[in-house]
Amino acid sequence: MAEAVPSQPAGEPIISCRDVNKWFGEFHVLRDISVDVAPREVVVVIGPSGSGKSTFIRCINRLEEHQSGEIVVDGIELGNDVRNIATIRREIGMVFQQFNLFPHKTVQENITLAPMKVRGWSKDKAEAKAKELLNRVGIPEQANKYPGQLSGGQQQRVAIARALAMEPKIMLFDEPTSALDPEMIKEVLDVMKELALSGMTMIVVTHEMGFAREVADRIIFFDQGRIVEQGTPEYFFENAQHPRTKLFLSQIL
Amino acid sequence: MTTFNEQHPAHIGTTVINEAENVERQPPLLAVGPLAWIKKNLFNTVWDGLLTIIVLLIVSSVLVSFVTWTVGQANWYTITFNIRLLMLGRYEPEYEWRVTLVVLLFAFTIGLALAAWSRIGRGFATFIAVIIALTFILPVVINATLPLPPYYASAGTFKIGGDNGQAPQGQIGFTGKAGETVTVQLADQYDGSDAELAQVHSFADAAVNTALNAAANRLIAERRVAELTALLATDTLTPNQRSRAEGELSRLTVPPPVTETLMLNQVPVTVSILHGTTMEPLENGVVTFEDADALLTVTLPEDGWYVLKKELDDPQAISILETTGIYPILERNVTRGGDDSTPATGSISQYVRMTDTFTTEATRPLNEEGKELPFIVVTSNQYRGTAVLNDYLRLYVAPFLNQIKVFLAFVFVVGAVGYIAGRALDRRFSPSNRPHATTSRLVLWLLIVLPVISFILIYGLTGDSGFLPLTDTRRWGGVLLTMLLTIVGIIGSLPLGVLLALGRRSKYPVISTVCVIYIELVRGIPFITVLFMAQLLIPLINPALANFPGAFRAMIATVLFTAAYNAEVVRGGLQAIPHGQDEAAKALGLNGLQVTLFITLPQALRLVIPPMMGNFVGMFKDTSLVAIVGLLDLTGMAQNIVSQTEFLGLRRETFMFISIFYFVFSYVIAAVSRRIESTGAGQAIKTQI
Repeated sequence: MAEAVPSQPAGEPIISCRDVNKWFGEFHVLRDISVDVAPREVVVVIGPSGSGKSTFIRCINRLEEHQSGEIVVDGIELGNDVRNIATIRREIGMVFQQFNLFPHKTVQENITLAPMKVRGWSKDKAEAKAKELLNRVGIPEQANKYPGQLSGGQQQRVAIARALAMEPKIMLFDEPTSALDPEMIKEVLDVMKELALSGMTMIVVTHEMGFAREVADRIIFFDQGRIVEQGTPEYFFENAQHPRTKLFLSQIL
Repeated sequence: MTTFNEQHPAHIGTTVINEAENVERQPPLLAVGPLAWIKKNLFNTVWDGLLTIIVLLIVSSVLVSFVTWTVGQANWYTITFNIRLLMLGRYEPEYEWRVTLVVLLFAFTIGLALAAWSRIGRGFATFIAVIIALTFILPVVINATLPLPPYYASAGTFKIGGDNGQAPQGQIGFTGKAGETVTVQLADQYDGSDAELAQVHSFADAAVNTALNAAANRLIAERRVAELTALLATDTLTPNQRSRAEGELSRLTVPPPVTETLMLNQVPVTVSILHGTTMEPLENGVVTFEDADALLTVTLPEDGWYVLKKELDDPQAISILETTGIYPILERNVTRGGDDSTPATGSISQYVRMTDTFTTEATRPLNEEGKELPFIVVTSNQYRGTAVLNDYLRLYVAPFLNQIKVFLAFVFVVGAVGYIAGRALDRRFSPSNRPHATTSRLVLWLLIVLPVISFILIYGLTGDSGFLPLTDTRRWGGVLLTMLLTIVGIIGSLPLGVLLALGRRSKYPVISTVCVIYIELVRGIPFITVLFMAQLLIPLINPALANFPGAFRAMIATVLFTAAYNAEVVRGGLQAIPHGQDEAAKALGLNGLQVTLFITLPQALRLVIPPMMGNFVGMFKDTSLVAIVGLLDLTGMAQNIVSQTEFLGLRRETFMFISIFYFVFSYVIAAVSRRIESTGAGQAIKTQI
């Protein structure tokens, strides 16, 4: 399978996973996952549901705890040390399938909360950043609305802006378009593309094959908690070797 | 057999485009209107109609008997007399201004809050203004148009109803205001028939009451004799029934008419009205009545005591006088002074006139032997017979409104000032995108500061003397104590409940176990038991706490008890917050405390406003249980009042009144909570702190 990994990153990885294992009770969700992600790399994770891809990226900012193996993010090992977890979460932004905006706060407050409370920014600085980010995701006029007043696509763009406000080094996307109406998927993907082009390190769990083909540096295919195959988009979509990958691709393409 | 496409050839290979414009259309006019509503909702089927009629019958009969009792039979003077006790308990009168100030501060804050979070419609403002105006106008109109019922006084020396009966009193004291007119004449209907006597309803002294009762009883006996005689005249009775009827008839005796036996108004009677201190007759104050035309009219020169003196020559005759301007009195004891700065002046008797609560503290007149004269006592002179609406308005409504109108007006005026001030502040200082920011911030600060200020004002600050001397908590009572318990209960139990809920969800086993044990323990104990423990066990456990005021113990018990219930409500709210909120906040780098403080708790609290308010309404009503451990809250005070001799037999009136108070207040809390839910004031609280 060595030729199947033509673009294993060169240089120092920003995320490094070695033999990560996790169980939910008796159920073995992640089996010996070893992945390195280089800075500025865009990694797309695909796979059938229940294959452990979401669990994998949730382990990276420790929303889930792995039970064996080693995860090193930005030179810091994720263990039980609370300070390490706090430091790492500060550097990793995450976007969720269900947006998870704070419904009792306005869009602007959603974005400024963490920079002010965690990074200790002044209100002015945080609000300037919020304004800049809302411009970047294309909804500057919604700053004083509540999340409930926005469409799904707008909410997800706010969620991206909220994550970016912390100026993270890495962004994790957990099926960011799965809860959206087809008409709104594009506006979110456009923002993500722009983000990828700007050089952000991204790990994206998605079923958007078009996005994967266009933006990804590398595609990782998960099945039954295992990385079955990975490679560049060209390799992956035209030359995948593993029968499980072929079956999956034949079903969704 | 044809196919679909053959039947509808237009569909074959055609594109159909709907080019119709969207035109706004109204929904079809349904049969609307009150009659249609009644038909649809009340009489839709036979069974619906039957149910409607039955329910209406039951409700109306209950309502009719309730109104009849309220207007016609109830003696509401237990309320008009005791309104201060019911409101403040025996709170020191010289510090009463502090409670007033607290109420006005709250009224102001409520006005501000309405300006920030709501809008007062013209209709509502007019409604309040009309209510206030009515409290001032109604008593005046009632007093001007409806005469007070007369007072019937008896003269004579022999006892009505034989040796055990009542003898008229020769001299009797009454109180009056300067300029009032007192008239006396012979009660002309009393020389008529017993039937007229039995129907008299008014104030009457004990002897007259006896005569009236005797007349009524004689009439009943007379009627029964007539019934039995008519029954025996028929031949449809069985021998058994006949012998029973005959036995009853033989036991019945119909006395001669009361008017004859008493020689009512047959003998000249001399009536004089004396000044209460000098015991000299007033000008034109002596008249001898020989016939029904004679009339005694005097104008009282000053506020204070007067004496009605009646002399009848014949020792076997009785006269009944109809008077106006003379009314029953209640005596109550008031303690004055008693703290260290002012020496105790002890107990003073206040004499309160039933009809208008005119109060005098002048000493009672003395007779020739130096003994205090009897006065017309409320207890023996309760309004008798079935009253009419006029008397209900004149005797109860007008005095009640007279006592509350100024206070009520102040409260609403200050509330209105708060509302106007709030609007003005917002116009002046609030940014345009948040037009109520200034006022709502001010209200939130006031809501935090006000309870502390109020407590200091009511309890005192500086020991026994100085700017705000301490008040005696044992004298707290009535609505004051009920509200103190409620407000302290709310303010104390809310944060404690939140802490317990968070503790119960804590991942540290020690904390969560302690919280679970506390919550389950308290929820498994009746409130009354907690109160008893607070009142009785605390001094046993630690003798140093024996002097800790009972009111404070009850407050602590209320807080501890309600906190457990609040904790469960808040926990429910926390559980209802989606896990994603917690994850998103954590992923942003917020620590556990920040996640709780800024994300989950604010949302949970907003979610639990309705059940939380329900808890508080329940707690408000449960404070009535402190009456059982001897505190004189509204319920305790009501019990205390009805156990006094003056108010014996007036349980229904007293408890009806406090029920109305509890209901109105609970309803207001519930309405406010619905309002908070619907107008998004909860939103304002969270976004603007």
